[in-house]
Amino acid sequence: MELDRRSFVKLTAMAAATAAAGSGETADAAPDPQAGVTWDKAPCRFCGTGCHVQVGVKQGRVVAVAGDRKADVNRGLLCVKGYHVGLALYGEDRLTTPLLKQGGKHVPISWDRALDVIAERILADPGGFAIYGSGQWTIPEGYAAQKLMKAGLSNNHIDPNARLCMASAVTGFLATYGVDEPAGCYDDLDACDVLINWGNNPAEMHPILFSRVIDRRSRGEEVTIIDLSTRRTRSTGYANHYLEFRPHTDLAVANGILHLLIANDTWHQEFVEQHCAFKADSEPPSLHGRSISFEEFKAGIAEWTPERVEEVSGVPARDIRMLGDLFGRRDLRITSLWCMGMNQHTRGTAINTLVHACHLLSGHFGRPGDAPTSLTGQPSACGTAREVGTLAHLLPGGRLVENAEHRKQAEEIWGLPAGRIRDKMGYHTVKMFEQWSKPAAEGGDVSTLWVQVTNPGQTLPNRHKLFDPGVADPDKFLIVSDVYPTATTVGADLILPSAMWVEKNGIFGNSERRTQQWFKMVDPPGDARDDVWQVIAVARRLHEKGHEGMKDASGAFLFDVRDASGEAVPVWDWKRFRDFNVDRALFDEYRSFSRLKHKDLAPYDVYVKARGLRWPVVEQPDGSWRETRFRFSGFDDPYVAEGKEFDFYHSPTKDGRAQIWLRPVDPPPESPDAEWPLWLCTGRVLEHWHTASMTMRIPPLRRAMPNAYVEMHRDDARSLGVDDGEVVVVETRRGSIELPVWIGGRGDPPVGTLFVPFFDEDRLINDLTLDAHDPFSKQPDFKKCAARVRKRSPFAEPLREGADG
Amino acid sequence: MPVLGLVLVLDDASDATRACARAGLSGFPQLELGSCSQHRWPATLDTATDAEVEARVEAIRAVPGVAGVEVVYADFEDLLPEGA
Repeated sequence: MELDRRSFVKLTAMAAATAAAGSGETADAAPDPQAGVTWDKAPCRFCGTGCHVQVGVKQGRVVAVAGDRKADVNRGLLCVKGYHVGLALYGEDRLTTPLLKQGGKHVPISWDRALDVIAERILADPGGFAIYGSGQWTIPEGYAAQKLMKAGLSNNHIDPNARLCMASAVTGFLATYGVDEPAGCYDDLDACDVLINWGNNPAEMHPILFSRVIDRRSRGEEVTIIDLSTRRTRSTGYANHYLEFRPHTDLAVANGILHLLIANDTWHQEFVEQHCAFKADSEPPSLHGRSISFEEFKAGIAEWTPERVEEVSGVPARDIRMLGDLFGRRDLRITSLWCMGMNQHTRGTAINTLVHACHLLSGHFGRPGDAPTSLTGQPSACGTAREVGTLAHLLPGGRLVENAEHRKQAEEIWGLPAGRIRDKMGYHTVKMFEQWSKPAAEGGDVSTLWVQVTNPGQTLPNRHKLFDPGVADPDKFLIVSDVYPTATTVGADLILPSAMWVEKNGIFGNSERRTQQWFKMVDPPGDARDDVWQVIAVARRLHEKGHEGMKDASGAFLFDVRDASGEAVPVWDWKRFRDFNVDRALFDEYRSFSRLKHKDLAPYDVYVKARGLRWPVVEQPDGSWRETRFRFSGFDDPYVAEGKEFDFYHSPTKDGRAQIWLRPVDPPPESPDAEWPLWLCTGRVLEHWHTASMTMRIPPLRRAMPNAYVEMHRDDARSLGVDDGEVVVVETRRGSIELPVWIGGRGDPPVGTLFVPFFDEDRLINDLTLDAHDPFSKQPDFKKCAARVRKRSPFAEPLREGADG
Repeated sequence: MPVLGLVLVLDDASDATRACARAGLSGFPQLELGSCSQHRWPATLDTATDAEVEARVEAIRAVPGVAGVEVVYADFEDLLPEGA
């Protein structure tokens, strides 16, 4: 019988592989039928690429996954994390019941008690309540959470962890185009002649996207890959040109390109004159700066000769000329990709705007293959964190809490009494945790913090400052909703067990504006419950206890949902929650916001049939729904006026123009010196997804990468007298940890630079990182601070090895 | 133990590259090759233990003529803990 099943599985696997290897024809999305296995679609749980998987379910368990052959994003392919995604559900230590800390221990309690505890904390200090959410929230989860806060509690202290990973991309888009999110999409990867990775390692972090380019090369197409980085990575091996710059000097490289476009007279005069304007920093500093003339821009960029760039960045002048020449050519199509390297930067907004400027000044914009495109690390950083408005200054649909007209729009859509929404922005992430970690007597006015679907105990920079004091303060109360124990649940006063991925309905929005829906396929374990239910149930408990904010202007419950016959459905009652598709109700309410900034979404049921659609999605005369691949381009974007080739219709200058920025190159907040002679950079690895709270529960991934390490150059190791594999002490002004040295490993940092991944909860590198942040995006710089390494004491305790050695 | 469906991406679609890759891949008894389509070769990988999977995939990736290994299907029913 076993042989039969295994043989059948192999036949199924070969059929899936043959279909994926073929011409791209996609007869069926799911693999061939297999005894007892049913298949349905879902986006992968992990990164922001948004690959679609077919999920095989047998007897109530996920037993197999396959790449979805009908999905444009991944065309049947999966990365090492993607094909293990089903196993993320089945770690042996899933949280299955609410746990309340009593006498220093976490003690099981009922959901009813948990809801009471939360409601009483909120009612005791409604203004001191904050929610820290996630780019892993589904769209309905994030929408419900921000509605509870902004519409119900008149409290804007809600912010997502996306603040730590892509906030600078947001401010870069806003400062350039007046509206967030990329104009291009993944189709650009199929059309570009040149791919520039700006401080980005897609071979490990977005491998399915990168494979699209490598596959083109294997077909005989010529694609030039340029790797601009501070260390060699797996992506470097595929690059035609590796340009290594000193940390923080990417602004100089971009300025060098802009200088050469002007100096060589290869800038795209027609495109710029018709569609662009120029900006520079203002005093006092503001996101939209001040307008300048072309002549001012030309004078300001003149100093950035290739030789000057080489002096500042270390990139040879000839390579800067090579970049300038590429951007100056009209016969090439150039795509830029970036992610955390540019965003986790105290000059994150500035470097984002400069990369946009390189594309705009050269006219490499808006044709397939010509695009500046930021990637996200989380599956719904775009869909939820950005579009839904879970950031502390936003309302759904790109509306601003400090804009009276925007608040009025939101109050009308939500049916709220006028003035319900508070007119002051809430705390961004770093500020929220500063206020959480500061005692009340010293002005620390966040008293209760609810963390959902994220792990700040591991990911916050400078943890000793931003996380630990709040945990230790008996007056502060931490609520954590999660699926596994984490570095955050350890410090929680109340733990709520959550359903994950296909244990619930969901909708994500990926890096290319693609909104993706899935249905629940298996039951969550024990008493784990959906995050969206948790939010609605808390709102209902507050309603029952008399909080007036939980009612709209008509007196109806804030999350009042009605079935087809108009009957109210008590979805706050877990026994009735599954009687009704709450996701559909919340999404269809939310989509009325999406039209306010031309990010139109289709009705929920349209996404049920699709493998995601890229907004704006606009209804056609025949009743079908059309997605948009290239925003602001007349040939594709329905909001570009008839006859126009380009139209930046949310222009910050309200004249249809995008902004080309002039930015100075400022020093980083902390640089190596005699005492702290090394740069420390942190980041991710292929095998683990962010803090590894899911991937460490997948045995093959845990074995493949069991613990963190410090990469260093062999010359640095030699001068310190340490060998490969030896445990050393890495320290900064903020803390120290012990790590094994990896020399000549997967990454290869230059002399004077260290790299440490942040996935290991037993070796918290964020005890060492810097909480300095970009002035506009408020995104911290995890990529560079000053560090030193010393040999470990011979009398120190042995370092605990990772699981399975 | 897991059964994987793979697509091996070759450096190019030439006969020489295909022959070179085939010679290198013959050293992997757990690998069953399907019919090569241009530069993309479907295969299955059937390992005795899940611990072998990553090492095998990495070793296949290092075979001359193979530019990349893409996974398209994974059955992990045997890896699920009891009672999951």
